[in-house]
Amino acid sequence: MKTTIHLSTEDGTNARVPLLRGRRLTPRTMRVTALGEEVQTRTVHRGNARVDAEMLTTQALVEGDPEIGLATIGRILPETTRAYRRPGAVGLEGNFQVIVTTYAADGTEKDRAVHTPRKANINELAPVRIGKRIPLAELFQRFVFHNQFHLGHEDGLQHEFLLAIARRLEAASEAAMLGAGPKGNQPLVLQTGGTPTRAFLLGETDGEKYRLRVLLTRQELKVPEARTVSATD
Amino acid sequence: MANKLILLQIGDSEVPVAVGASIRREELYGRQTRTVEKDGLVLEKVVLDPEGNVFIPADIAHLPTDGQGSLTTPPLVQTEDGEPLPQRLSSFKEKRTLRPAGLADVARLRVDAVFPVACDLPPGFYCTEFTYRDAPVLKAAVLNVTSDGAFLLTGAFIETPLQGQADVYSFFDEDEDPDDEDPEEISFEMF
Repeated sequence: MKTTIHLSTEDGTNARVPLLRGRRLTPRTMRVTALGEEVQTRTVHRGNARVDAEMLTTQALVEGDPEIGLATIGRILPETTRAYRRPGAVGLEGNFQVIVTTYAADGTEKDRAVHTPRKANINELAPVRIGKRIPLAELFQRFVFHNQFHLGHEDGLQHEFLLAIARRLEAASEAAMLGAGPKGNQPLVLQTGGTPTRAFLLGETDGEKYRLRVLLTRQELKVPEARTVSATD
Repeated sequence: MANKLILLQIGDSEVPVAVGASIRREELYGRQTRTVEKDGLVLEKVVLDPEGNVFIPADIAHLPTDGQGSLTTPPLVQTEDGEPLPQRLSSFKEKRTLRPAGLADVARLRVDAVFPVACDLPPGFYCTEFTYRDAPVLKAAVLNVTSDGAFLLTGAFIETPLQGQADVYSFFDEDEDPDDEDPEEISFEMF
């Protein structure tokens, strides 16, 4: 699926350009049998994990094998559906709510709220803004980048726009923070239901060619406070 | 958790690096959990098959199978091109090479794990390979040494092509095909 980002420079020039995924250099692997047949992962019923311990008498085990579930054990389940029920009940429930509970790093509960999927915010009327600059060496000493994309172009105007951005970033040896929302200070949400993430833009050029990486981060490069405290105790 | 030692070879010298437990995001910023609730009661998740059988998740296993539905020998790992990939030893059992890296190398790394490390190397970035357990493919890794501490970042390098205008517009530079020229008379042969 094509993803587009509405990007604005510091001077307000903006364009909608494709956000592309790079290719992983590690070889893709597959599992095969000794005969070269591809191994597939299948969902299988492996037994009744929850059996009342009081029912597991010698007589019950001999007569009924309640822990096995002979009717369905070993059956391959090609299609399954997730459902919910009251604990211990037989009937399934509908019209439920998904509650998100947020815990602090020390484990204390901070917030409880009904889950509402976040809307993607990178191709809105308000463009994603190129904001605060940070030197490249400092960038990689402060953040952990869990994912990355790159920008591409579909026409000459987009090419000129992106090449100019890449040249400015390369000349300064800096990365630029990308921010969404009307003020350009919100984290990016790349797809609806996605997780908010901070993003930085890195530019390189080679003549009339450019490379603009969008590096995504949700974590600083540091040791958790709890570990440093326990180490000094 | 106690640090585990890996050995890295840089030039002629051997550098021992003590690797700590990986740093999870939850340790720094907390975590979120999702529960499904109705009337204030947390509901239990179950799995429903097409015949209406209800299983709890612990009843279900995801198993490797062949075409017949069972697997008699452990699976082998190969590339998508069919090249077999033998098992490589864990980085804790086998020495790996280390080389100084530039910012361009670091920018290519998509990180999936961060380990705090202790080592005696001058500040800078270094490239190596890493696998915590024996595995057929080694992960790309960058050792980030600063004056305040050092971290081993493991993951995969991502190839990002340079974007050139010519790639898009070569279409217009091609020689004109004589068959594409407009005929002087409009043909109605197709009707």
